[in-house]
Amino acid sequence: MKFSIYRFNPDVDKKPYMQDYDVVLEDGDQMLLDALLRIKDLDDSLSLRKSCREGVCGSDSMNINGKNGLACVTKLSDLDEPVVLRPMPGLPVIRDLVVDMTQFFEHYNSVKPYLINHDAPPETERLQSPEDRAKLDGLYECILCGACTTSCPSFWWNPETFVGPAGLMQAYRFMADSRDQAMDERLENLEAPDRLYRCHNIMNCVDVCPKKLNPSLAIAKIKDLKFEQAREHKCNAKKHIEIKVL
Amino acid sequence: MIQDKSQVFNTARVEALELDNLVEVALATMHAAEARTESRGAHCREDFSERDDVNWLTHSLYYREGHRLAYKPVRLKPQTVASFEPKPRVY
Ligand code: SF4
Repeated sequence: MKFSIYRFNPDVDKKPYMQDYDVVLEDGDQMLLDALLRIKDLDDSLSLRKSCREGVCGSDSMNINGKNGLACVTKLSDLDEPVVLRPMPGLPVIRDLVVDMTQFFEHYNSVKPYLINHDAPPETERLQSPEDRAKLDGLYECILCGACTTSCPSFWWNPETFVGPAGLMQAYRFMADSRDQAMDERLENLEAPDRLYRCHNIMNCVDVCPKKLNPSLAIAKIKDLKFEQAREHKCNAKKHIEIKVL
Repeated sequence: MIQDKSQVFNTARVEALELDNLVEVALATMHAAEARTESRGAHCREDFSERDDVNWLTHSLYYREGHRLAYKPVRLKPQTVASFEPKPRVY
């Protein structure tokens, strides 16, 4: 099977280049990652991240024939040849298919992706009704592979400021959690013009997510919540004025 | 033989180091398992198919030098909750 793979090693290369490989597959090689490991057997200088090899760890996300995805859950039989592999766009390349995810995780951390609850720690777990728990479906499954954020033109344009689909979906994941008490703070945190509102529903994120999640929908729900919050503030402010006038 | 000599994200080297560790863990597992003449959880022997709490309710410690084995008792008195009797698990 024929591959064309982005190569760049800052130790020796001045510029990145595409390298062709023709690799003989064996029975049982079904996924793109299997083929990549065959190539690595032939040429151990090809660097890539991988770990669980079953779509759970989110390490081997890359750009596959122009579309971001995980090598370990991409079927070889679905790919046109030569298979063109590049690192995920929009992040600095460390080497070959390995990108620097620092920016991605800074955005993720910036939304405080953890439960904020000011009640005294309970003796047992904080319980949720099955209905409240169901509100987290389609949100909590994110494996932080970065495929969505690095396929997003708004992120390419404003990588420093736009939180990106993965980070924003995790922001909403905690807004939607019945045990969380920081709704106002979370909404306020996304107020700066570039953090949330750079999302223009381009939906590349939905197209590429290997876990079939919908960051675009989560972002739309945050915008709804922001609208509600703004309206409440306005009503309160108006009431305040009316009372003063009286 | 590792061909890749690069200092940058050299996964060939990392994997070689991992292999080294895997071999060591495999040796520890082999020696400890051979000495443990019982079956317990995932440690399952055809020649000693029963669990033996009289002789083997113990941690195995492995030392690389001479593949030496030592043993350490299992703490059976939790500090904050009631203890529960060790017994075979049957599913
Ligand atoms: S939302 Fe999907 S594509 Fe984005 S980081 Fe999470 S799992 Fe990856």
